[in-house]
Amino acid sequence: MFTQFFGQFLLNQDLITPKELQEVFKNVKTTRLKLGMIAINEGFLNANQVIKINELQKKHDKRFGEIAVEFMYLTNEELDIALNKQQSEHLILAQTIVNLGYMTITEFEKAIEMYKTLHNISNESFKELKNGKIDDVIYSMLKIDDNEIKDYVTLFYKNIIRFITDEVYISESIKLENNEEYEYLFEQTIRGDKNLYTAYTASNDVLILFSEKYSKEKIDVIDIYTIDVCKEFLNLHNGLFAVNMSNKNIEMKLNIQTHKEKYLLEKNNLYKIPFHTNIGKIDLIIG
Amino acid sequence: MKILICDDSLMIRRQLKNLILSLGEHEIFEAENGSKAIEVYKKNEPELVYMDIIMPELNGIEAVKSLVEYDKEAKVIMLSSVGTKENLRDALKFGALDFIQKPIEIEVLKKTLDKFSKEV
Repeated sequence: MFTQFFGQFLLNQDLITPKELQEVFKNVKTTRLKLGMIAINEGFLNANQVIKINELQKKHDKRFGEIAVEFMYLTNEELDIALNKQQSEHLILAQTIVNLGYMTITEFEKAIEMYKTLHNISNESFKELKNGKIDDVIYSMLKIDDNEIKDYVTLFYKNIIRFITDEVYISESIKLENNEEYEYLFEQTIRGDKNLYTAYTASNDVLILFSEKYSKEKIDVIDIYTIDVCKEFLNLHNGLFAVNMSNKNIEMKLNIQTHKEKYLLEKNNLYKIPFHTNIGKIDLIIG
Repeated sequence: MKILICDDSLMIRRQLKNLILSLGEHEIFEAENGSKAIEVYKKNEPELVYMDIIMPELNGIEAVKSLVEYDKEAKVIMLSSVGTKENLRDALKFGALDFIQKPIEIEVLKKTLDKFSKEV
């Protein structure tokens, strides 16, 4: 989860592009986390000190930790803490970004401080991110002045993580300026105290992977069953959204979920929110 | 036990059927909307019905009303993602005995099966 939060934050701050972040997600699983990165995150060292230790490493054939302790940059206790954090997920993400050359270690140091300040997170409490914090990150990407739509998109994000993949981030919402044609579109209208048009679309390959993940079954082609799975995901998500709204005394009813093929969607005051995942891009459409 | 699964989603019917059969020996009937559910119910007289709400032709709330009018002893459990206050109130008012919120959790499903198996 933290990979997504920090990745999303970097995207929000324009510190990384969506394409770069996609590349980072591809590489993150094979990245080995370096001690210098952890020491910066823990506040034990600054970027300049890490660079100096790296230079010392070139002169002395010793490990980073040994040099840091020997030259009194780190205490033994600090080294132990850093070693214990080598599996830290958000730091592995940062390490991947540095390895790929998208940020320098100094830029990362600034980014991590900005992240902690903006989200009021201590060094020890990355793993205590509350749901509210996710909402803040998602809200900042939505140029939509409608709280129910913002709640809807946030829940969609959470449901993608819950049912499809935990490697997901969103980029800024786009107001549809032109009619758009889609190969497959899954849609459902919501009526009641609030009326909403909701839909999502993706390329055929992505829909196959998406339906595989959701149904937990092997799916090779787009057929009646695949379409059923994709429709059911939207229905489930909208049902959970209606329950959340009902708990806020906003009553909503769902129309039957449908799908369209080779369909020209009219722009009609709709927003598109791109969800970038490790299985590809999914566009949520709402208005 | 004879069990009727009524849901417009093929995936849900398949998953629910597999889950129920993994929990014991039961005879499963399926229907993809409320109208079909009434037909299947009249023909096979299942002892338990799992009923979705959002379905074409006849929705689950209307279907439970018709089923209970036809058979006062009908045991219907609503199984839907739309567990809003309004749906809960209507389902129980028209005679549903319980409401399960989707996504289906096997433990919740097991509890209802155990409870109604004993009654049967």
